Amino acid sequence: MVKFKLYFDKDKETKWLNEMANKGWAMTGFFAGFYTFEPCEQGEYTYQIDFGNRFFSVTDDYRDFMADAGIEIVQTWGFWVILRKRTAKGDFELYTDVESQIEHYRKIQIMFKVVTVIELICFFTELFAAVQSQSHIFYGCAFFILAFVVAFMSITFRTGDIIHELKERQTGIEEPRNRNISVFLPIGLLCNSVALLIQDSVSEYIKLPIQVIAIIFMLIGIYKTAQKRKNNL
Amino acid sequence: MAMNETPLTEAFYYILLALRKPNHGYGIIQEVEELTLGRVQLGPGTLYGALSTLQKRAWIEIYSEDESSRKKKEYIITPEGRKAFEKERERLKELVNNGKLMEESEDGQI
Repeated sequence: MVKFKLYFDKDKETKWLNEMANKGWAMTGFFAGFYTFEPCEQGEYTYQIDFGNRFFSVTDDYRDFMADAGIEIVQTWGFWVILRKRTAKGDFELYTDVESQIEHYRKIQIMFKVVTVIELICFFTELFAAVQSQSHIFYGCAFFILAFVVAFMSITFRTGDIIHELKERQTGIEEPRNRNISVFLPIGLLCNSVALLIQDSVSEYIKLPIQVIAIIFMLIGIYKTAQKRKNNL
Repeated sequence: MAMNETPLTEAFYYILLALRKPNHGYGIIQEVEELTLGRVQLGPGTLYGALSTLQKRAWIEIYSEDESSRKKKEYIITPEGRKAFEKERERLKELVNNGKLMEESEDGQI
């Protein structure tokens, strides 16, 4: 069985893979959003997703280490490593203390930040090409990339929230989240800059909705940011 | 991250302890679990990360790596690692000793 899903959140992905395993479907492969499943006994495996140090591979050292603990490497994708262990062999949790969990999510956050910046550069390059050539294909691509920019931006924020929560648990002190800007604000600003960039080259029907969306996002962003600051005082 | 950062985390403390004699990855997990009666269960991700950090700090080193027989890779603590461990033990002793003050009643009598 093959299923298509796009996950940006590794915790949700892990949960889904384990739900599938509980239903009797063991994930055996992944390629660009397509998950391959094979029948297994219900709950035969427990899945976990690690963030490795190598791109599309793991070191022999890592593989041996995991094999020694009864863990099988199912798939590597980017820096992600999907692992599984037979449930009969005991609990399977990769990171068991707050310190290593923080370290784990920090690495993930850095990767998401880098990806967001790269996607942003791609987006503006694509948009520039679209404006120059007036090609609908380029516009289509540009907005397709924009969707990814927004997705990666929000997952970067969410990862930051997880790290913050872990730090609170580590110190036992509750602190207000020091992020004072709502996610809507950068998204709104992004839409606005898009509208400005394409204003001379597209018809009103395209420009107007983008500008309206940009204004709505910026207003929500300003409102939410103001509220957050008020709550933090 | 500072090289001689104290206090050690619980995981690092127990890993160093388990490596007073040569031990391999899964052996460390088992020994720590036994020593703490199941309280501290080291996840493989946590242990793998800790082992590479400890190696970078030269607190542990590889003891044996027999590639032909695919024998498990074993680690052992270094003199440097022992020093770090003892430093932490001293700190913990101080904590426990000073903790006895709590047994005094309010007027200073035990």
